[in-house]
Amino acid sequence: MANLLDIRRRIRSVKNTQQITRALRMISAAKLRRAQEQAMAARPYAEKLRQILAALGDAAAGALSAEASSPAALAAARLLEQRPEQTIRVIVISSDQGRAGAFNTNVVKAALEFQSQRQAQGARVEFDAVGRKARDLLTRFALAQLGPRGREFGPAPRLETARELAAEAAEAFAAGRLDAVYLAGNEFKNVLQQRVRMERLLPITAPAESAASSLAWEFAPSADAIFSALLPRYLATRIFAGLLESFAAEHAARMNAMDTASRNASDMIEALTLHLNRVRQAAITKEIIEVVSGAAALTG
Amino acid sequence: MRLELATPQRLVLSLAVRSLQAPGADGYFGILPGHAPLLSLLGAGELSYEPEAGPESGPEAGESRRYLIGGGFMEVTPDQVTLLADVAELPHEINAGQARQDLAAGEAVIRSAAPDADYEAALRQIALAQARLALAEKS
Repeated sequence: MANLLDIRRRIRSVKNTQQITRALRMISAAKLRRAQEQAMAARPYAEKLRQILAALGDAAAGALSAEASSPAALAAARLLEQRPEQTIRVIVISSDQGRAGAFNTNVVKAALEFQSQRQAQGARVEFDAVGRKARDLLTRFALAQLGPRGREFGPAPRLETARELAAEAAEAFAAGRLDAVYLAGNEFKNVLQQRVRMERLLPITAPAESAASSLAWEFAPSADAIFSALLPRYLATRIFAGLLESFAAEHAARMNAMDTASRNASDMIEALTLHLNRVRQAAITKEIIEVVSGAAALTG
Repeated sequence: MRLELATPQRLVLSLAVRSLQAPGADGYFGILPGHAPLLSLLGAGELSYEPEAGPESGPEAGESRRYLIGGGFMEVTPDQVTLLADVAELPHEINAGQARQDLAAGEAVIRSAAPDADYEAALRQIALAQARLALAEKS
């Protein structure tokens, strides 16, 4: 029979754990709210940029391929080039920390599945990682060659990170070292659900036509110049949106995981307390029996 | 006429204005309602605007009507102007010390005359730093 002291010690330890999981849950709830606000705030810019690209898309793309003038415009035009996807980079977005349920494993699993699928078709797939978890998990699977070193997510989504990733990918793509670049990340569906999304970043396909394109635009200084400035920003904005989305999903996932952990701790404390009482009662009963039978032996 | 100013992080301004001046890549634009559709690159410089009187002028009424803009795009339609800026700062948010450092660093790149230096980036950095300092001194 377990010692009373041991059980008490056990209960105390579970209670401490529960305090931690409760605190983490609350922190994540607060961060989730901020992450959602950030994601909402970033939307107008991304939306407008997409509209401009849609409006500019056809006109400028045609003009570019026909008589691209400046070297900058030529470089930008290369980002639209469709090639057979031989060498592919997948940018995997995860979190720096765990304690978020299947959040990180899901996205890494999706990325590895994508790799084996494409490798079966004869393509080479390399990874880049944002977030310590994806970097560590991908490095551990020996099959997965991590192209660039990968980087940490940091305490909040940084536009700088998105710009660096976009610049590196665009440079490698334009130089022909990559034929396609994909982004894999968790998407915030609602507080209870996260979904892994895989989208192609490069080559860029101009978004569908909008009504604005019917206007007779004037361009300053030129359609070429605007187009070549637009594409890198569009790429960075999409990666940034992915980071924001993943950050919100991460905190939603952690909130749920910690909620479940707190509840499990409660169940365990309850079960242990019951056990403790039984053991204590058994000990008391045993002592009474001893006293009674001792007395009976004396009188008998 | 509606003015919207957005950065990748947030929507900075959204209000009705009578007129505005924005820094284009090759010089300032003055825009009044009814302007022909225009797509332009933005340079580094000062955005200033005159809010329309009335309840529409938003919480910014009475506050600064100047912003520092650093690169991006401007879309003009007859009844709306949308600025997508890489950087948008109020005059009091400008870090003059940092701007002076950026300016010195940019000029050092130009002076170095290294064959592999990124002169375009250095020139952009200098222009942004100069615009920041000019606006910081003015206010």
